[in-house]
Amino acid sequence: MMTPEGATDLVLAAICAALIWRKSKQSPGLAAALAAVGLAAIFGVARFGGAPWALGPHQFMVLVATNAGIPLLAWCLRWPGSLPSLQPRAACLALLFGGAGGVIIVGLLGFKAWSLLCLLFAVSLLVIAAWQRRQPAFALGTVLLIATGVVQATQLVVAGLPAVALLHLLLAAGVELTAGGVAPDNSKASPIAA
Amino acid sequence: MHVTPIALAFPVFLLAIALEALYARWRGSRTYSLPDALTSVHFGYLSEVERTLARLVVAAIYAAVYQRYHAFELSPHDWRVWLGALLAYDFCYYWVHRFGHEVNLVWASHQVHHSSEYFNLSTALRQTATGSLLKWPFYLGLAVVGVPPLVFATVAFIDLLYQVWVHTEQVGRLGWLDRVFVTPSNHRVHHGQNDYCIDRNYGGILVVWDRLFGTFADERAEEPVIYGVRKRFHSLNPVWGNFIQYRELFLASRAAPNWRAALAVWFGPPQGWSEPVPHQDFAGFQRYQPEVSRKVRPAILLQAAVLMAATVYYILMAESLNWTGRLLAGGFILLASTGIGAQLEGRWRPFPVGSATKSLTSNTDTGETR
Repeated sequence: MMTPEGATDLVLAAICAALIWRKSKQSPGLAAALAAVGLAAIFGVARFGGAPWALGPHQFMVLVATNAGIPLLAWCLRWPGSLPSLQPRAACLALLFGGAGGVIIVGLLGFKAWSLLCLLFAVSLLVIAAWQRRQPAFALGTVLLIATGVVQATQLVVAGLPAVALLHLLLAAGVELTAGGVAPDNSKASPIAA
Repeated sequence: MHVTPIALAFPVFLLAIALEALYARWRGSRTYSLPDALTSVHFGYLSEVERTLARLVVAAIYAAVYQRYHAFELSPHDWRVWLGALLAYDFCYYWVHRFGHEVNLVWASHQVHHSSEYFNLSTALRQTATGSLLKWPFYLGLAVVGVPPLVFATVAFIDLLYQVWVHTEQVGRLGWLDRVFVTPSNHRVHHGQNDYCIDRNYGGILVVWDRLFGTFADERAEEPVIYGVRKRFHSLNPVWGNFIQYRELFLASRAAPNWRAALAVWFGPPQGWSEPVPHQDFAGFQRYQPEVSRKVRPAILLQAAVLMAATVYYILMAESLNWTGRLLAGGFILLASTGIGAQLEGRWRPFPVGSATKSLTSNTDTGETR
């Protein structure tokens, strides 16, 4: 039976899949970042849908998404003309080594502050990007992504919706509003310009 | 004493190299050069030293990820688990290997294996001593699926062992096998620096991954393969060989105009991000082959034999040594192989084994060995 956490993970996975479909040619880096988030969500659907085998892979992919996927997403939105945004190899490297590093530092060594640092890095990039773009949708998406962090930290329950489910919904909406918009070419201001 | 499979395999590799060299000589094919083959073997020693140091860390990471995140309890008593793990490992290996060629930071490590301009079984031993810490993230997926550490370590060893025999010019084309498996023919292409060989045939056991992802190239009878790397490595020093490319990257990134360009140096591909492979004409190509005087050969071979015995003994004993012991033994192997390399290059004079009398009667020895 589908729980609220599972259902909202399904929404998140569907939004990631749709965005990958729309954005993979424009920004392979964005697609790779969304794939990490989406894969975590797919395992989440299985886990919250009652498949015990999915617990480990879900936790693993959540770490990869948190420590590498979201920062890569923010990077690609802040600098759409950068190599991690345009080159699949660079994006995969960032995801692979960032994710593996996150798994070791947070998952195995227990330094949870590392995830927080990664998310703070991502948020600061998004805030700068939102400031520069001055697009209401992008700004709202950024606010929703920041709210995701707040929900995670406070385990907030709204209208009977568990914190994890709320987190999934905010993340899905935030990702759609930020990554779903047309990214302007600001490659001149990009680090590691392609 | 804990005998690792590689410790048992090493003497077999060395015997196979000797047999191939004899066979090549009998056929009149110039596929071996003593300095090159010895250097390849010394690269192999350093690689094994690094493995004994890094293996614990990498194995611990894999085991911890498996313990914590594995999805399924896959039984090591089920042959399908072994077959599936081998296929999955080979698939991951394809990508590790591809990244090894297409990302400067990883290429700096992997170029060691391609630095020889000869292609024989000794080339298989010419491995990097800086690779372990760059490859492990590619295999974590297997731990998450649930491939037990023992199965993982075994299939990794099988994949490695398989790749030894394909480093030879003594085996020709093998028909349909060349299109399914990694074979001497398609692996010769992988080691070539001809235009059509660059960034081709990355597979470990199966070459079908290359066919699937568009990186396969068949050997061309009309265009003999020129082995080696385009930024030629003219040295027989295995330590230098392991770090030369990192140095190049460091210098290039230091010369970069800003930190963005500096980062791009480390993470970009060796050929540039989007440029096609530049054409290179190999007419008149001469392989790097320093002359080693017949006088000094016995002394060098004696040292090489002592080093070989010491290295095999170290590999056998490594599991029972503490870190200090490992570092000391590793340091000895590193210094000894560097010393032999310097003698092969003629920069150092070996111990006067073959010319003791002459040395004793002459105080004006210049150390010239070429």
